[in-house]
Order: sequence, then C-alpha cells, then structure tokens
Amino acid sequence: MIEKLEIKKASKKDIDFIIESIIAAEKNNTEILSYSKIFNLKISKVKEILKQTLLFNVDGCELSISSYLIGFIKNKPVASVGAWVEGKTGLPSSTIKGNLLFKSMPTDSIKYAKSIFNITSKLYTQYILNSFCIGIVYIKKNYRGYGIFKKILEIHINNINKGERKMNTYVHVFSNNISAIKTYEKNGFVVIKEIKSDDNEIKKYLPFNKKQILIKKTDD
Amino acid sequence: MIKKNVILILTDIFKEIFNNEDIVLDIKMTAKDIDNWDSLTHMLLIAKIEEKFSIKFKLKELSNLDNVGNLVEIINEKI
Repeated sequence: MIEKLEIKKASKKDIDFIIESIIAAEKNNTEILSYSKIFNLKISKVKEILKQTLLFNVDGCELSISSYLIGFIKNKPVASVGAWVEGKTGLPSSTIKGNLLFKSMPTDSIKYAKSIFNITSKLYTQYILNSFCIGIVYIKKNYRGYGIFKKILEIHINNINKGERKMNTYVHVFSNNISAIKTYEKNGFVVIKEIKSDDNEIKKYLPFNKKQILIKKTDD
Repeated sequence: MIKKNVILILTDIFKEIFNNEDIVLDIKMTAKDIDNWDSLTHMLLIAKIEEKFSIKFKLKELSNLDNVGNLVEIINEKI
C-alpha cells in the first residue's frame, strides 16, 4: 500500500477532498459536525461555506489550501493532513479562520452562534506562536493502518524545517478519539494537557467535552 | 468621531464579546493578549463592530488587522 502512495501539495482541484477531510475530522467519529451545530446549518450549506473559505486562498489556517498535503494512491486522494506554522503570516490561525468564516457565513448563523457561545466557548484552546500545528488529519477508512499518516507528516515536518529554526509540532484532539491519540503517540507525540468542560450541553455542539493537547518535540 | 471615541466604543464591544469587564484596550494589543480570542469570538467581534459603526470590512482589510491600533485606524477611515 505505502509504496504506491504519492504525496502532493494540495491545489484548487483538491478542494472537494479537503472539504471531505475537514468534515470527517471535525465529526471525530461521531455524528456531531460542529460547523453544522454551532452555526445551525445543513451539511450541504456547510460544504458550500467551506468551499468559499478555501477559494479565498488565504494562507495560515485549516481553511487554507496551502496548509494541505494530499496522499494519492492510483491517482485517487486517500488521505490529507492540514498543518501550518502558527503566526507565520502575522496573524494567529484562529483570526484567519474567523475572518474567512465571517466573510462566508450568513448573518443569522453568526447570531445563532452568539446565542450558544457561553456553552461552546468552554473548550477554548490556543495554538503556540511559531510552532507547527496540525489542524486536520483524514485517512479514508480502507487506507488506515498502513502508515500513511506517518509518511505525510514526515514530509510536512521536513518541508517546514528546511532552512528555518526547527520547531515543535502540536495537535489538539478530542479525548474520545482514542485511536487518533494512539496513532499520535506511536508517532512520537506526548500528551501535555487536557482541557475539559463540565457543561454536558457542550456535547450537543461539539463531538466531546474534553480535548487533549499533544506535542512532538523537534529532534534538535 | 475621533480616535479616542472609537477606542471607548471598541472597549465596550470587547467587554461584551469576551464577557470581561476588566478589559482595557491598548493600540498595541493583539489576539494573543486577550483570553478566549478564538475564531468564533473573532467572528462575533467583527460582526458587532460592523453593526455598531455601520461599516463593512473587506477580507483584505480584515487580513491586515494585526492589532487594536490597526482596527482603530481602519474604523476611523470608514466612519
């Protein structure tokens, strides 16, 4: 399997696969799609909005085409990893993402998000400036367990560490995604922090009420 | 409306969005200086600013807003 894997930087023609990746990663093996629940949108509308944000072609967050490496087998996309250097473009990824969503989101959806904000804000996490951040990881079901994530991650990390100060890699994962956490640990990540909300209502809007922050330290 | 008034109005908006009465805005402040400034609060903040000042931001303008001072300047240009 792995010997047939071809890894390429994403381009506009990969947008549909990136959207599939974002939705699968956000659902985190549950039926809860936060974009849909927090903004009170049908999945078809979420896809439309994600497409618009990606087409803005702004770098530096999980809604940036340039953040993605795509794994192909026999010319079909089977895996993607979206990652970026936090703050490289001068703004935090959360601000960039907020700008892109703001320009694409219906006003009523923003008002709806505000009405439930006290519940959803309790899992606030921030990426660390000048670190490499993994935002989205997606491997299609039949292609899991072959080391595809490891291969794509290696290329991502090699690309960002070329000629620059080497940096640590961070990822935020919902704590119920045990298989993802095990995969990260197998690839040299360690858990450094868990964030929790005691408000059970949060599970109506997000896949789980706890998040773990993992780090993979640079080899330097 | 002069810059000082814009800062006063912005301070009230920030206090409301971040639910923090202790916020004192400074032109050098960035998203990293305020707790809970994530993508969602950012959207709520921009929406409230547009509503309060009756202005609209272009994506390019939002992409250049890296501190409170830039925000004040662009609001002053638009009002």
